Amino acid sequence: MILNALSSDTLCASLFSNYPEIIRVAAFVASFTFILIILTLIGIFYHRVKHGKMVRLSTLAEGEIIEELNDHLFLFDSVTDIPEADMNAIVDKLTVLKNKNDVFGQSMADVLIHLQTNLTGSFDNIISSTFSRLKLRKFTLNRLRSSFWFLRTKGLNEVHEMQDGHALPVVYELVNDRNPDVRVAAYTVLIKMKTRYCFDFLSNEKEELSEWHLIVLGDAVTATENADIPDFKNYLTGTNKSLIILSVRLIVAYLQFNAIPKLLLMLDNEDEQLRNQIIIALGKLAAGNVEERLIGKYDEETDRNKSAILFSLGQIGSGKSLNFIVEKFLEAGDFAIMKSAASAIFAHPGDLKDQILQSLTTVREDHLAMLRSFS
Amino acid sequence: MKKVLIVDVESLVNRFLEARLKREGFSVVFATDGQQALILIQDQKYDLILVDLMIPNVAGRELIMEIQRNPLNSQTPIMVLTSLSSDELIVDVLASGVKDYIMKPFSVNVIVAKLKQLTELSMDIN
Amino acid sequence: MENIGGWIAFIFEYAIFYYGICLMLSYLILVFFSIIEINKYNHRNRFINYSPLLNSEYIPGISIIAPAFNEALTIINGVHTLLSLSYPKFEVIVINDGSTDDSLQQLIAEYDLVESNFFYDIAIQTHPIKAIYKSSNPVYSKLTVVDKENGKSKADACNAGINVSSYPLFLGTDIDCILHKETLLKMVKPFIEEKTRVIAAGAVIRASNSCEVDNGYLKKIHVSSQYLPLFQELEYIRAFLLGRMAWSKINGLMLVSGAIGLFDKEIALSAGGYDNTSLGEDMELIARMRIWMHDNDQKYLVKYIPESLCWTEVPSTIKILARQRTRWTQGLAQTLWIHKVAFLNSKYKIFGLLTYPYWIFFEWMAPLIEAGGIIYYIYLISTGQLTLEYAIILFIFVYSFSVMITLIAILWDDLAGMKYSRKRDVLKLCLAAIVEPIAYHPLVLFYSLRGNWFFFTRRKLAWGVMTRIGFKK
Repeated sequence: MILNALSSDTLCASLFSNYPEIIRVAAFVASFTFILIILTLIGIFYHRVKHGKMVRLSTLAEGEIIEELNDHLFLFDSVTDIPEADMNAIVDKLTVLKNKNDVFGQSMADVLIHLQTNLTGSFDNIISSTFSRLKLRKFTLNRLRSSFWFLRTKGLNEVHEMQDGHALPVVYELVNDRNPDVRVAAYTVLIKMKTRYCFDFLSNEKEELSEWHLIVLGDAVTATENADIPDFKNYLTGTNKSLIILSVRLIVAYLQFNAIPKLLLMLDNEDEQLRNQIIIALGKLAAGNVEERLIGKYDEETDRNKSAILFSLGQIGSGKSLNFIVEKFLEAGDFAIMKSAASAIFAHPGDLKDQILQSLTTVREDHLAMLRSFS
Repeated sequence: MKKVLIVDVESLVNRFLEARLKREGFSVVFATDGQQALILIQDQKYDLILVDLMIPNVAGRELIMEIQRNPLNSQTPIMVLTSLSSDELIVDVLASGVKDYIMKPFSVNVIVAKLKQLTELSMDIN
Repeated sequence: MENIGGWIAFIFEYAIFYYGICLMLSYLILVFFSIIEINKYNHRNRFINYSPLLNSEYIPGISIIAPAFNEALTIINGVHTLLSLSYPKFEVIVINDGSTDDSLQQLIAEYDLVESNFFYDIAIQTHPIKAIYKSSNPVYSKLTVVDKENGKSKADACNAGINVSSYPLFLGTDIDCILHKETLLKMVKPFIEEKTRVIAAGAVIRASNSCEVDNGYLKKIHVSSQYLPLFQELEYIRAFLLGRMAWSKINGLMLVSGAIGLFDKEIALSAGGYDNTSLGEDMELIARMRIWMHDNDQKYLVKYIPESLCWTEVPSTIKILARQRTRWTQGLAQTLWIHKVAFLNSKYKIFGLLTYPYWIFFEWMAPLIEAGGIIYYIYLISTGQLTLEYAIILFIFVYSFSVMITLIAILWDDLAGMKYSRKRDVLKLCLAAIVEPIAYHPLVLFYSLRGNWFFFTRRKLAWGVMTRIGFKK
């Protein structure tokens, strides 16, 4: 056989050896691409057939599982209503379904996790109890130990959806994962499961996190009911700018007014973005005693932060800085600053605002147009 | 049998919700987008309409407005389903005449209780 | 004479042939990078939950800018779809660009519009705005309609929209495009997850010609049964999935389509907004934004998302296709000429050293060299200098490579998640891929040459009117 192959190689070599260089190259490339065309066509149709089969099987699995759950498990309002014998019978039936094949097993886990994610109340316990009895945690644990970071992240999401306390030791390990998406998912789990020291990441995380991470973490904190909320001002002195920003946002979310003095000190920070976030936070906290400080900072600031200062003064709306706002409105050359000033004027209570508007009679056309657009 | 129209994209939870509502004596019809819902309300009067604000095609708030203008269903109580937690949005939606709202994720027992209450109230008024 | 003839023969035989080899190698490299980047995107976003974004007050707001000229058939449905996109902070700005039909009247009636005192910054000069309308119905508070004089270009209308916009990002789109419900959520993600500033992002565009559409809402996705849209679908799959993803990976993207592009408004304005004299305003804006960032020493990224988020009606007649492709080539040549400062200029890094030369040699010059190659090939055959056997080998060489690249794109499209509901749609695409190099590519080649001819002879080509079939079916 080898001799035949060799001789056919020799045959090919001798076939093409008479061809000019260009034709030889063209023939070689054409042969190579022809093989790839065949392989690609096979790949397309194999994938289509396989995917179609998977979809049909998953749909079938999902349908049977939902039917079984609806007809037997979800007849009860809470897990304590289910007699032990009935529960065992239901679990046995579901186990049979789960063990049919891999697709059924995975679908069982996915359906229960999906329902757990989208339903609250007493059904939570029914679902998590069933999940546990069906030993479906192994799917989650396999994902947590996967070498693929996106599977580790999915596993972490499943841990907090199913409130699986048994997986916490693995979650604590993943807090040190080299992938930031995995670490953030681990922090989210610890926050949502209200574990001790779940806010330690605010001082321990060394890498600057993205805005997406901050949104996810912020949402995790504010969406967790009855979480033990710390004093976020304690995290304002770190070196990780992104986490300082997150702490500032959480200070606003939880109206931690005692952080205001510290925030005021940070107005001198050399980072423009950080100063911007603090100016916005002071406005949202409607901290009346900071107006002087904000006004004092105004001239040193960038245009973006000037707009933010004016907007925040409007949110505070005490009236003390109204003259300042009007002055800046009238002298503004930058459209964004003019707009922020106008918005700040209109954010003030009715009588104060009306007084000011009445006094603005001899102003430029563009000022009038701006005021008209707000009224 | 009380007729409920649920306008929501989510399918898996709705299958479960449908089974539960049927056991409670409701007849359930689903629409997965605003346009589909608009067609359904033209020919049929419903006892209650449950609308998810984040539906495609015709936005949830616009759909609510159209339901309130529809001759058959202008008096039908509307309940809103939403995962958006903005106070401003909730206040706005309630001010538009919606009877109640439910945050997602929701409790099935609570939804059933609210649906029963609203449909009974509406029957009393009629 | 013999020497000259020898040189010509040498150029046509060797230079063009090895140019073709280089072009093929470049496609293979693009395929390789695309596959890596699509995988990376899928891993990152397969299990994503968008609810934190939906509830966040820190998410950047987006202004959707949709110019409209004589779009009476599709405008109402288009606006409904835009208003129902899932995103917590956005506005829809429709610019009625001097329509001569009843587009504006339809909008006024449908959305209870009244003229407003809205005051905006004329950051970019445009043709005069006649009025700005807002709705008296709070349900439509996100909608703004700008009525302006026709500026003879989409760029002028877009600039007017940018002037009126309030948010830091803007999405440029067409009113007749059907956008996926989660378009804004998916496209904003690169802007908030990258630590380097993202200045623009694009996504995949598909043909909506044979899709099941119900009053502007996409119900089922089908491959077109018409000849021209079917081949254009193939082109789009190839270009978006294999071309642009690769460029996105190395931050070398030169084009974000006007049908769906999310831009950083501050940078777009600093760069001067859209150029209303350009025939390829979308590409020209990206080039200018990139140059501006380099000139101002700022790091940036231009990203691409391998998800089908926009469906649009593509030309279904030769006449409209001809106009579109001629304009595209003219626009390409124009952009490359205007920004020639970037060519092989190390100041512009990847853009100047790789992207720009690539677009000159392998996008702009390719039709010219290909045409020359075909003419010489025919000459050789007709003068008996090329045997039939060699002629066939050469033909198969070019043909099979083209088919292979297209089939790889179709495979990757399927793997990346584009699931046509019918198996026969994929079969149609595969058959079209086999036939495309003979049945469609010559048309595209011809119009590219025409576009170059128009460019070099400075012949003006108007935008023309895209005849809409509309979405009411």
